[in-house]
Amino acid sequence: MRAVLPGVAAIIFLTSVTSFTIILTLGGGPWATTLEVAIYQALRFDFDPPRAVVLAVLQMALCLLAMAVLRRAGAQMLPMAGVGRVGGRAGLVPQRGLIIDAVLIGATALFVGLPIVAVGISAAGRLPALWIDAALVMRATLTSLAVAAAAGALAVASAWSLVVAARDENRFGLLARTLAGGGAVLLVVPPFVIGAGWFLLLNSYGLAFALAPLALIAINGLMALPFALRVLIEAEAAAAGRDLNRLCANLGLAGWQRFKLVDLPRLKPAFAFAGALAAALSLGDLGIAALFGSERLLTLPLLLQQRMGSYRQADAASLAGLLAVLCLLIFIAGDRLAGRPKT
Amino acid sequence: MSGAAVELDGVIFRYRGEGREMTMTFDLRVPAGTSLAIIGPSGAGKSTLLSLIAGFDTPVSGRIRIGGIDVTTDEPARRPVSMVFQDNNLFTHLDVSTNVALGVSPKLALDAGQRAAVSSALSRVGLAGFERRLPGELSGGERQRVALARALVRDRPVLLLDEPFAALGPALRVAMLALLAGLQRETGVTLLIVSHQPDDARAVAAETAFLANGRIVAVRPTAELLAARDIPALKEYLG
Repeated sequence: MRAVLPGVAAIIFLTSVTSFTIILTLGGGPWATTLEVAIYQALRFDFDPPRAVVLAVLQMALCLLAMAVLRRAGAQMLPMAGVGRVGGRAGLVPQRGLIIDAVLIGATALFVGLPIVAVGISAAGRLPALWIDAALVMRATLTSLAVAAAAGALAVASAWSLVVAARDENRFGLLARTLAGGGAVLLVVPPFVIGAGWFLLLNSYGLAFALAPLALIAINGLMALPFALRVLIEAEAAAAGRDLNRLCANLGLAGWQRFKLVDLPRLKPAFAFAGALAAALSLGDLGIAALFGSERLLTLPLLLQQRMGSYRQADAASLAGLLAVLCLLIFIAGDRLAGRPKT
Repeated sequence: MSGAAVELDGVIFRYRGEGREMTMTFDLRVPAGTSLAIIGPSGAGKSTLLSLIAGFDTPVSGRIRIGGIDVTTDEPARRPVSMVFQDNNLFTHLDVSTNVALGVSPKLALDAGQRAAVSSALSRVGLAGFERRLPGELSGGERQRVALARALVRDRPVLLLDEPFAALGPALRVAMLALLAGLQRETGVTLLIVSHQPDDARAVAAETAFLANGRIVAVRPTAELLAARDIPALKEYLG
């Protein structure tokens, strides 16, 4: 427990520090803002690149500092950390612990569940709201789904190449382990800062909007990479091991052939889950979409935020409902794709 | 298939793992078509010796030759070697015949003759008709038989076995050892088997090597080595 806690604290802290969506949707004023929202405003409203750069550097420094402090406290930032450590002897939990657990889990469930119910109720009553701009909503849905699918595939493909590099004990060794641990780098250099950098770079060539779809997909994929990486690393560690690598090496099973014959059938559920997770994350992304979005590249969360901004709560509620349903569909599709696990 | 000589010439390997470091030195010559058992306490370097020959580990210095050809820097798949591990020899989601066929071609591109060879290898190890079964439906002994069938169709001059029967009961072990000895006589393959059981050495190996602390202490005819009184570490190991 003591070994895992600092790591968990670090992840939560870094995720909050890099939080963007919540602040933007809640419309935080000068008193409630984060660095990322400030970067966004510097880029998209005031167009003040120097200020954006200073803020981005500040953001990275803050994350680095936090990471250094927590590492000193013993936090393991590598996605490998803690794998397989949870568990142990069930049935020995003291009664009091169980009650506290139940209360905490219940409270969390309420915190997460109530808004969903609220969204559901307001959306159900006002479904027709979606039909007012049916064409626009449809276009945003298709855009969101296309971006999510591409970003999900990108995240899984890059995560898998890291896993493959890491498991080759002889050839890559330290380099690969560092790379695979590099999922954590994405928390220090938040995808939003990378997005801001790309925005500035592309904008200086006048390409920020022409290449916006590609940038959106690439950065969304990057954003989901640590999560996809974690899912795949755990699945690989549980299923494989040294024996399997050596067996494949002895038989000459490598590259695509090994992927097709050995890895894909074995890890299909993990691939599907990682893909669904990455796609759902990308579907709900507002940060990068806000940077690169426009009337031509309009995603569902962007549309939702616009509606909230113009106080069209009913529309926003039904859009949120639609987003939730789409997320659910993505995971159902992932489950179908994975098929029933064979034993 | 006939065997090829295995030579380790001044091979030095730096072992790192399980919280310890050790420098291992191996000099060994196994003539073509003979069989050698490798015994010794845990951590002596028995599995490492096989890993070096199979190419899973790379020595710091020294040369490894198989059939007179230097393979020191060759990829595992390019070496004329088949390997049978203690466990996890099979891909659990692939049926028995596919597992064996992978020994012929990693692309599973088999012609009619090769497919027939897969079936006849399976009947040779006593698993005729098991083609479509999944490894999960087999007993531990049957799974090791499949691994032996794959080694048969691979038709490589050197066969390495790392404690292949350690997880099997005594009666089953005797049967598997008889099968292995028969296969070795028929094919003339050069066979190296790591084991903890002196019985394994007696059953299949004309010669036995005793390893301790990362070096080969002695290589002698099996009966002679197992009866030797002049090696203190061996006396301690055999008890």
